[in-house]
Amino acid sequence: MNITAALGFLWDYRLALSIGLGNTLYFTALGLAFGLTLGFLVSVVRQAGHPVLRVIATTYVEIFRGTPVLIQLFWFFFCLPAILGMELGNVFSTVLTLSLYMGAISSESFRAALKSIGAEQRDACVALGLPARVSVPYVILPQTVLRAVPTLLSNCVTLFKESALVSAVGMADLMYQGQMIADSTARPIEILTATALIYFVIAFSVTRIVSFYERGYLARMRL
Amino acid sequence: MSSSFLNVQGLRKSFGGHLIVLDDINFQMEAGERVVVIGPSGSGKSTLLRCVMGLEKIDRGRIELEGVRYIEANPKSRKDNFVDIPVRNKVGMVFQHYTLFPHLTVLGNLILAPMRARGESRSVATERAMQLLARLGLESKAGAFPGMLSGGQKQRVAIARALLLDPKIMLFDEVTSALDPELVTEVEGVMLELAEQKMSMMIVTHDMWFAKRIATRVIFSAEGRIIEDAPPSKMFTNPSEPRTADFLKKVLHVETIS
Ligand SMILES: Nc1ncnc2c1ncn2[C@@H]1O[C@H](COP(=O)(O)OP(=O)(O)O)[C@@H](O)[C@H]1O
Ligand SMILES: [Mg+2]
Repeated sequence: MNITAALGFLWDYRLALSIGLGNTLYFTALGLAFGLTLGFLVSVVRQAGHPVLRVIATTYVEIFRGTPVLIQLFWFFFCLPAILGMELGNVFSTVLTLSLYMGAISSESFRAALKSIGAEQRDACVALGLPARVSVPYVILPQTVLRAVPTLLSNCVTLFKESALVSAVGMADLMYQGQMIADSTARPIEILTATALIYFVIAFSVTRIVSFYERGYLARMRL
Repeated sequence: MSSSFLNVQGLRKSFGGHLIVLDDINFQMEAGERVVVIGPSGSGKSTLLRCVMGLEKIDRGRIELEGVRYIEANPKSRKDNFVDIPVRNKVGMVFQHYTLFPHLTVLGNLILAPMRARGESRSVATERAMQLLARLGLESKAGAFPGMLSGGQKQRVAIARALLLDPKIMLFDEVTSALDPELVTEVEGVMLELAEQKMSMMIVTHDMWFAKRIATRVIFSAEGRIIEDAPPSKMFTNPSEPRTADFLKKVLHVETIS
């Protein structure tokens, strides 16, 4: 096997791989949008909500952090429709699983950031006569988000990589397309290596952005 | 009801019910007075200021400003205090650790409360803020983030942020304790300037020379009580209470050798 031949072979499948990557990014993006919103709300509930809501939120987080994502996906794909007696479709199951998983892991990041905003900042808000309708959106929330960004970005990388599992319920993501090509051409080495590389390059870039941000922006603000 | 400007009546504050930090504090001051609170650490000086600011839930007593009760313990239940927020908002406070908002610029720190809590327009708030910053020699720092400032600059910004809300009284809790020695004077200078303008102030400090200079009255507190309350001339030269004398001997001695 030589490199030129391998690259030529991969080049022939660039369209199929791009479609796969597009789908992976699409599902990741949906999971991020719903998951981050959910994660933030859950962290607020766990910090300040009614005790009953707090127990529910904590149980949810522990279950989704403590079980394999593949089982969650299968459960929503096979079991939930059986219980409800209706088809949910694999797109719905996929987005639901990714969102709930992201919600669970990101709520921990938000919670840690919320906790790290000291009592002194809250005292300053009182001393300045800022009511909650001002202190929450202008003081607490921006600092929470700024501090949570590094861990949230690694949560995003985790979700991006975990999303490869959705190929198991027949979603044509990058992993699925890679497998299909590998099976039909019987050349798994080139194609699976290339697929892994694509995942790696994207995940690695995001990780680099995190450390850049931590050293630059956060350090400058001394957050 | 009393005619005093600030009136603290029967104030008791404990933490967790058993650690009584302030025990039946009665304290009055008139407008324009500058009361410096001294005492050993842990004697409840910060707690007293925090109660006046409305940052702590009090167990007993009431606090009035200009004859209006704005904080009162609820004697029947251990529930929340009565708090009159508009009156409480006439009190300003500066803390030891600056507590600037790190994600906002200096100007952003100053105009947040006037704009968002008091409904001032951005242009009016900005103009007032810039004037005040200019007075404090900080106008070139308006666009800087707090993390880029020296401790002395941060503390002056914190003072400006409180002043922009036109407080009737300012509380200063060890505002120079975290500063490098060479930065102390620039902050104390601002406070002396405020004194000239007859700002009412309560000041906690360990700097006895500064206390002597700025105070119209000095209070020595220990173990949650006011032990002695006297003008600086008397307090620092001829205190009535042996405990005050002991304390002063210790701190002044330490300061002269260090
Ligand atoms: N939030 C708190 N929880 C429990 N104890 C506290 C708290 N704040 C202060 N204390 C206690 O109250 C006492 C007085 O504290 P403080 O008012 O800070 O004293 P000072 O400012 O005179 O040094 C100390 O014993 C301190 O440990
Ligand atoms: Mg103190």
